[in-house]
Amino acid sequence: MDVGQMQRQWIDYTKSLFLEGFLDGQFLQLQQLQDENNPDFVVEVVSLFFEDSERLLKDLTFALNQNGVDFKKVDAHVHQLKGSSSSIGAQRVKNACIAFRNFCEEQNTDACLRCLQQVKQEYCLVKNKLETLFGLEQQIVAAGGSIPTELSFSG
Amino acid sequence: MEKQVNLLKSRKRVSELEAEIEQWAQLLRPMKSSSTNMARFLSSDLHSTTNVSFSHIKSKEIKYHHVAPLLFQAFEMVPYLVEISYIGVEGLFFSYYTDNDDALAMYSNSSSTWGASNITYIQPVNRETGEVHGKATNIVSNPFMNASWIEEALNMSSGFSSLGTKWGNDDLLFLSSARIMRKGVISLGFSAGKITDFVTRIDQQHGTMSYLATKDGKVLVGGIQLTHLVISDDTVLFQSVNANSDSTSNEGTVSCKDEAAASSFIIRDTAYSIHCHTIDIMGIESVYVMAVPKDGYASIDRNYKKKGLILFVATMVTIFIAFFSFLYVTCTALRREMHLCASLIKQCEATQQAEKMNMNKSAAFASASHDVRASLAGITGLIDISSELVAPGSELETNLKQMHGCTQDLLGLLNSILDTSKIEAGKMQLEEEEFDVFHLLEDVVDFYHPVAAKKGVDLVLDPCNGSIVGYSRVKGDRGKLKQVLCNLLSNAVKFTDEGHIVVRAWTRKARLLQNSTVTCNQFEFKQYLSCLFRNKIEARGDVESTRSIQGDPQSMDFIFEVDDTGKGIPKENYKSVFENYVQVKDTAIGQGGTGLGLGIVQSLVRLMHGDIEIVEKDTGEKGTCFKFNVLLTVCECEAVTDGSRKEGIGCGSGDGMQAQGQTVHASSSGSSRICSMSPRLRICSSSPKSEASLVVLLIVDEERQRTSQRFMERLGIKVKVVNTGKHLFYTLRKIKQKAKHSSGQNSPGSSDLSYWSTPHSSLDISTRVPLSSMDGTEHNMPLVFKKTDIGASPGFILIVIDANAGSFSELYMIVSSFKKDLRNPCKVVWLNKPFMRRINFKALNQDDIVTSKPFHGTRLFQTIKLLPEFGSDWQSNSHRANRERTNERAKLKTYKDPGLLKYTSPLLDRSQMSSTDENTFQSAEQILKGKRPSKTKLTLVHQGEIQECENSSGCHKPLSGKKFLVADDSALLRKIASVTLISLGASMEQCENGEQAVRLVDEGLPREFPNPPYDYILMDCQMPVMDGLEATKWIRKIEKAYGVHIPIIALTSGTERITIKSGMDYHMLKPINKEDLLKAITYINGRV
Repeated sequence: MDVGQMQRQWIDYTKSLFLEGFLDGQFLQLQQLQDENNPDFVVEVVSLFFEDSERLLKDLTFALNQNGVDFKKVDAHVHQLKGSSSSIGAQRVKNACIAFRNFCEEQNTDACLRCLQQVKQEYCLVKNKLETLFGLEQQIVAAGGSIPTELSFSG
Repeated sequence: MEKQVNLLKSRKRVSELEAEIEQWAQLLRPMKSSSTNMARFLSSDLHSTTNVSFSHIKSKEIKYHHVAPLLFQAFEMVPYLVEISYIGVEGLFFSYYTDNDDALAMYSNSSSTWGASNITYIQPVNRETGEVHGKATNIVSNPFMNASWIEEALNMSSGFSSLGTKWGNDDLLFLSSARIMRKGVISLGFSAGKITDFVTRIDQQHGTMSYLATKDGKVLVGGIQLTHLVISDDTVLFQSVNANSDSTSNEGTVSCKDEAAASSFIIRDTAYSIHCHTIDIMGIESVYVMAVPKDGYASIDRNYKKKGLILFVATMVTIFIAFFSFLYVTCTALRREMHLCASLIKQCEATQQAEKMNMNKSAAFASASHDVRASLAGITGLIDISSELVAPGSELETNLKQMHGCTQDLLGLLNSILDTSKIEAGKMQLEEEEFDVFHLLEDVVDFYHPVAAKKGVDLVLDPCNGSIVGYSRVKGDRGKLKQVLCNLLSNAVKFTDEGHIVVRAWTRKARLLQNSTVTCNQFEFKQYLSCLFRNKIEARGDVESTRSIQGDPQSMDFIFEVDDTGKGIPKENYKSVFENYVQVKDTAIGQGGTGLGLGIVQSLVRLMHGDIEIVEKDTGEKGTCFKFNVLLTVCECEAVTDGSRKEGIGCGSGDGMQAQGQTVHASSSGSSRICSMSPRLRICSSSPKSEASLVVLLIVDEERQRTSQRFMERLGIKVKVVNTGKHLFYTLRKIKQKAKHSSGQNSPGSSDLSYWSTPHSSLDISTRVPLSSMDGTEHNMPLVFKKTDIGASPGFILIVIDANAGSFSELYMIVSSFKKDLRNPCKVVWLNKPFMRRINFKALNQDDIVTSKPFHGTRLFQTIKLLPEFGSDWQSNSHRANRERTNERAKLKTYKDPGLLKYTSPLLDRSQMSSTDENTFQSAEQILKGKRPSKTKLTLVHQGEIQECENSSGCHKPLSGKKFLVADDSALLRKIASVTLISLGASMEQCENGEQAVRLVDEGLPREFPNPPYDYILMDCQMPVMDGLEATKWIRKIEKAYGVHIPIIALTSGTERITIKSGMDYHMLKPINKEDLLKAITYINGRV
């Protein structure tokens, strides 16, 4: 596969991520911030997001499986998760978090658990998508090409 | 008790004997009755006859006829009967008896009365018939003189027994007689000897003494010696007597009635118990006295018992002793074994522990070294960054440089430690790759040359017989070989203060093991076959190549020697220097190092299937000589194709610009082989017409001079060696004079022509012909260089001058005066030393070559190539070559940008580089040096770009010069914020919570006063420890004292209600992005 083809594939894949609502404009912002000074900026930020999210999800699972659920704590965790996800533009995770917070206010344990499942699912999805994207980027770089910086559509 | 037992035993024994005797006596009794029976039978017989005719009895015949046969019958038939007789009352007497086994008859037929002197006749008897025969002798004496028993027998009706004597002799007989009708008596005599025989037999059998006597005192058996026995009325009185029959006081009695009664008696000091019995032997009352020795049985018993007991005890004791000693020995052995076992276990544990500890230590060591290296890398990086930031020329910069040096040293040490731990762990492995070993060697030598030169030591590379050049293309671990060489060379340089260091290298066929000879032979055979095959195809009877192939071409032994004239190593330390952590004390003082170097070197060399040793030098020679060999695989095919390709390039250029040729070879530095050019050197076959070239060598360093000379002479080049400028002058003058004489006939034009007649195609076939270094003969040597017949030409003179040999002007004068109106072609190679500006480049002839690199390896080969025999084309194309060179110089100028200057290799003589400005000659390889560090050039470009970016980015960075404080608990958000801010040109600090933010502001305010410490603060609202709102409150309080107002921008996630009351100047939604941020700043600025 030549570089041009890979670059096209990368663009298509990124587009599909936006169209399916996995990512939003914030991710584009991050991509724009990446330059020679920070050649791996996006990857670094996203991996930070992965770390944060995994930790938070674990905490959430633990907190919701307690006997007396501390909804204040759960809310704080979900808030953080929401902040993280919105920072990298993981739109669907963010939306799931918003719903989660509403149930937290209602103190509805069952709904919260359902939401947690949904958040997890969304997180896994976006993680896979992003990893695929980075894999493509690596291939392009390895083949000697550069990652296209301008996307011909508006996020 | 024992006595009783003995007594009982003896009693039992005695009773047994008695019973035996009794039984025997019983047996005899019927014999008594037999006489009465006989008498009765005879009487009846006689009665009848007497009645018929009494007269018959009287007559001898009648009596004979009637009585004698009966008597004879009885005599023959009754056992033990020795005498039978009929005695008639009227005086008739007839008797048979035995006398010494002869049967005799005694009779008297006189009818006289008893006591009258009758005539008795004795006549022998025929034993079969009983008839008397022979002569009858008569005896006068009457046998019945005192035979009272006859009377008694006549009176007794029921027979009578008595003891009597036999006719003829005095043998005792038991006589049993019975009367026959009061007319006669018949008597049977049984021999008493039979009875006594029996008694004595018992005595012999049982060790007793017996005494048998009739009651009336006739002794039958007198077995008891020295005792006088008197039998009286059922008691026996006995008395011991001496030998001469004197009675002694010792006496005793024993009753014969009581069977159990016994009496003890001492005969001849032996105690006997005497037993007495009355027995009836054929009706004769007798007494049987038996003396049983009291101690007899007992003593025998006891003796036996004692002996047995002693034997038994002895046996038992022996057994016990044996058993106990066995037990003891076993126990001791067992105990010792236990001891040994215990100590073994202890030792094992100790060893294990030690090993474990050692392993742990090694592991910890390795990991620690690794960590240290990591942090060291950090320090190096930081120093690099700092040195860029620091003002050039400042003291800080020199300090930083020194620090950099220190870190490099540290890194070196750490690397060696890591290598050691790697080797210890057995993790060191060879990384095989293809490389040019000679090139590597030259690189290493060249690398250390300036270092050595600085110390005034010359570092010389000696290719010896050139075999290493022939086999330079090899497969092996390049890095490790380099490490070994570097280590040895750096050691040599370190410890040598004067003289020279020579690096020699050659190859030889790998020594094969004995057991692989067979396969080797097969292999050789195959090789030979293939060789023949090849020969057919190529139709080239190249014997040399055959020979070279015969050896195992796959692996060759490469031998390297690093010989210095330094302090040397004491002989006793030759072995120990290769041990880890060992340094030769007195020499290593002040030189530093861990003492790991040579240990690693040895391990590496062994890893490459070689060995390292210190070669003993002759006495008087200084320094040390390390010699090591490694086994490398020679890649032949690769080399051949490579070589032919090179050849193609070299000759394909047609005009054969030598200078260009050099550039081509040199510029392909990474992959090219030195030998790829050296084999292309062609030796002129010395045709009678042409004069051989001459090389004049003026080199200060003796070793280098010797090496160069030797190498050239091996190639068949005539070499003249001079030592001083003066010497050079004279030598050159001599040469000139000679040349004038000889070169007159030769025109340069003819040589030109002949050169062109050289078929190029012949060069192309010149596949690499390796040296068969095994032979070690020098005549193989020139085969590296292909000779070409270039015909006659005037002798080429090559002058190699070390610029340090004297003052440059003087040398230059000598040379230039030599060159003036010299018809011979001539070329001068100036050897310059790095860091020395000896040569005035302006003055130099353009044809002259200046090299500042050590004169060996590539330089040596290139210099040799200048000779026409080895393919120089200087003559015909000299003007073109010159032109080419000017082109090169033009090219050089294009390379000469500041970046290139900055990043040229440290080996490059900068004075040379700067001298290019002065439009002087630059040798091709310096161009090469300029080209080589392509990677650094790349990074340079990169840096340049960055700078450009920074310079031109003023318009895109509206926040440049502004300082931000970012307080956020999420690392993710901090990262995004920081990158966003930096992309906008701002600088920033970050903290994780409100409290930290407050502290930073608190510390910054006095420091930066009167300016605020931060231009803007980005504050997350929800943070642990202290949230954004509270932190803002605190900051507002603190800043009041300083009279400043730091704008605080709250970062919210949209849910918090932010009011102005909280003290925030603005709030924006997370996530932070450029537009929002700029909008916020504009808003704040506008408000301010």
